[in-house]
Amino acid sequence: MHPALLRAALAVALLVQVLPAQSIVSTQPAGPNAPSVRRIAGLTRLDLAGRSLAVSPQFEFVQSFFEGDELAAALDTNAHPEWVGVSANVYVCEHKDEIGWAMSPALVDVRGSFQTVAFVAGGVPSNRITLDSGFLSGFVGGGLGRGLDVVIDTDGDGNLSFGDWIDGGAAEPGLWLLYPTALQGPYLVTEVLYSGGNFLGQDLYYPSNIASLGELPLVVVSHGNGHNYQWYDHIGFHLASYGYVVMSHQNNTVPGVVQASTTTLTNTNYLLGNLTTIAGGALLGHLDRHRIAWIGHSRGGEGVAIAYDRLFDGTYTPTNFSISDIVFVSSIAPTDFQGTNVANPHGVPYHLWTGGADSDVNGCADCNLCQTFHLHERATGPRSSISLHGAGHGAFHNSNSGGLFAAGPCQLTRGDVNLLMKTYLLPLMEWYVKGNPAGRECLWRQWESFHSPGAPSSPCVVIDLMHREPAAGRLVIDDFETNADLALSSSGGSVTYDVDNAAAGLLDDATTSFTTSAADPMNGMTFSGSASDTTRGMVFDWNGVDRQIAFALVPGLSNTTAWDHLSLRACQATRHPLTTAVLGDLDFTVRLRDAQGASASIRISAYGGGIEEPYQRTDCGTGAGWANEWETVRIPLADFARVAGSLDRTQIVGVDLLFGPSHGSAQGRLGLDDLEFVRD
Amino acid sequence: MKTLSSFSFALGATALVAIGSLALRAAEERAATSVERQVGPVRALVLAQPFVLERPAVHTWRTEQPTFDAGYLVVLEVDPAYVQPRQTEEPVLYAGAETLERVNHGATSGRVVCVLPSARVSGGGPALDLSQTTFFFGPEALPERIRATDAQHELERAVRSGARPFPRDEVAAALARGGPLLRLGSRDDLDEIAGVMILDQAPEDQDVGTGLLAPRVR
Repeated sequence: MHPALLRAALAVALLVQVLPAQSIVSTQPAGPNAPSVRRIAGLTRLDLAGRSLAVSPQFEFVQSFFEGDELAAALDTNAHPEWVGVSANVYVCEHKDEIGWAMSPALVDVRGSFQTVAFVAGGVPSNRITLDSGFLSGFVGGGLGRGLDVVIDTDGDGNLSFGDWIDGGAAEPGLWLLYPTALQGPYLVTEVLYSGGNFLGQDLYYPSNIASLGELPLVVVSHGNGHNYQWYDHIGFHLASYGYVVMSHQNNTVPGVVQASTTTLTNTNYLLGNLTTIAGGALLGHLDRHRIAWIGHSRGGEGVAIAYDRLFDGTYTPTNFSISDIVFVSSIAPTDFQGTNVANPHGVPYHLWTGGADSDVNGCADCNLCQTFHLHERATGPRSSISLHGAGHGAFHNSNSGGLFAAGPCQLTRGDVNLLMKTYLLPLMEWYVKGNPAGRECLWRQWESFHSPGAPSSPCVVIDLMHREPAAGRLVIDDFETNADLALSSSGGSVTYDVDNAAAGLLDDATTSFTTSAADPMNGMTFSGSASDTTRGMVFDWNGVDRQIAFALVPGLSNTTAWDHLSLRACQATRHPLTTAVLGDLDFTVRLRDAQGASASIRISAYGGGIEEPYQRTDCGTGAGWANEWETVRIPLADFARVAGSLDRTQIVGVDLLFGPSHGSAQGRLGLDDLEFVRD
Repeated sequence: MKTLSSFSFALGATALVAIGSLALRAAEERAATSVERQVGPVRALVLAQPFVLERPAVHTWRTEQPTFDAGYLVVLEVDPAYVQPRQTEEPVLYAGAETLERVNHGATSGRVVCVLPSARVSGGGPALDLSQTTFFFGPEALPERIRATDAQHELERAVRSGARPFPRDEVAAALARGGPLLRLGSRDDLDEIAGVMILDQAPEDQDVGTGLLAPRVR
């Protein structure tokens, strides 16, 4: 409805119903003594905040911005033609939920004043506005994310009221403005070194003002072999400065990974059982024993997964916590000595760090226990992964007395890697441990286009991210786990393709080197470590001509309106001639088709980056290029409808992946997996 | 990085006395224990300190995880190539048919401080006769996966390959450097002794040493 008409309708409504602008639609109970509060009715909720793109679809509606980023908004006047020719005031306000806005509806612009915008025809490309050029602060004290709501004040009354349009104003804000996660947080940190006895040495970090901070989550760090528990200051100080308690402990890694898992368990138990004496009792009443995260490095990285498995299997019973208290497990360059049934994070939210230059847990095809991705692939719950080209094994701790254990070109310094860790670690912990969604997009948006100011920016910094939602947040089109026939997706739809050399199977290099070979279609794959690992996927190539893979959707998948993104993960095939022909991001196009024959296409590079080239490390056979490095690509489903307004998202019948000169990179060889619709 | 000075106040009185004499002795004699034997990667027995524990400890370096209440803290001089820390399997250090617990890495100095568990002579010290004990590196493995039978097998293989105990005079000298039997309350006390030993013998492992000397929560 045109805003003018809307206002007229509202006036009639007011006359007839004699209702206040904040009409009653519900009463929110907020405790026995809370006053009844009436939500504001008649608001239109939609995405407004985002960022401009250089190519179609011209704009991406996103939720997170780093301080210093341009903060933009857009209104799709193709979808909402009533706005053409209308001017309205646009506000950026501190976030309030529905009750907050109802109690205090005045629009107070955090920039000092609102801006008046004249909306025109032409859809989003013609109606992109800059809300802020990087001047707003994201600082919120402890935690992460300043929530802001974007409001179009249709009636110009300076209040959020009936008929206004808003991005946010509910449980979540319209956007999150993030303080640079590379920077230390607001709290001073106290570090205490102590020991509870044999293999109970602990290095503890907590906010010095913890007495005023309530109950804080606990992050336990389990070091690797040849490492030391005093080598994780970068994690301890950083997280504690944002309101976490971090404990790094002496880890019994040399006998093996099972012993390491024992010391993860015993040290966690010891800390929780001795809060009255540790650090003079400073943590007593201020540690949330139900929000515990484990981070382990190398043997310790496997150890934390084993520790979780022992809780899962009931073979270890701690006295001061239980399995439900472990809410997140993260492994830095983990080994895999114990295999599928023991080194297994099961359904706990899991995360993996991998260094491309790691010369210890080196990832080569000839060393099964050195392949970091096995544990990640075994995780059945939500999971995330970050791969850093040029990062050596010893770059993940902070001691210069330990070697870098790095091989390959363009190596990152320990300082760079430590800083990159801090940058990514905070949003990771905020999401998985605290449930704070402010930095959630840091886990899957392309690093090239979204990362903290202050992060190292040399050309050697190349980062690939994988992210998978919990089962309820995914609708799988094809994950290749069932229906071995390439012509049938795992969801039961037909698959047609004319790409070359297509094959599906276990994502496990069949040889002991990364030397490319036609006989080893899964060359460079390191997801599966044993016969009982099951991750499967597809590989294929194209060379100079247009090719495609068309996934037909079964009826149960056709209505996409409940889903936010089309998601897939892909990798370039290391050392393959079609990979080495052009070293750089690989690009292709995704097309959605509906039942009426309408279609919409978007290149994956539109959002920044593509499928990264393999890290150009030699050894492990002949040629250059290390293990295949997967990354997640997500395209907002709403963008397809915006690109082709006639596309009916309730009746999508096919998802096509288009390759070749007309659609992106002229040639390439790709691995493909987990094609699915996801909900953030 | 932490310094030793901030931790030493926490050491028990018994341990302090023992550590003091131990460190002094070791410092005096370190220069005198230059490597003269080059018979294999385990080059010398530098120091051997017998101990007994009031409360038994668990030897986590073998599958069976036996308990022990006596043994030796030994300092071995080894080929550093054999003790480079890595995440994959490492050569396993044996004393006879028992795995040694390597407390530090010694990757630069080649000096490795180890706990060698032993049976205990009734009312006395460790039963193990070091002059009858062969020290050797076995194949790469995770010690936690090694059973007693495996260790016996590795000993036999090592002997067949020519490995022999250290000469009696070398053992006697090492025991002399170690000093009289230490009667300790628990494994925790042993860690403090080992920590000082590491700082003295393998200064590159300072963080391991200081880590072992962290103030005890009482």
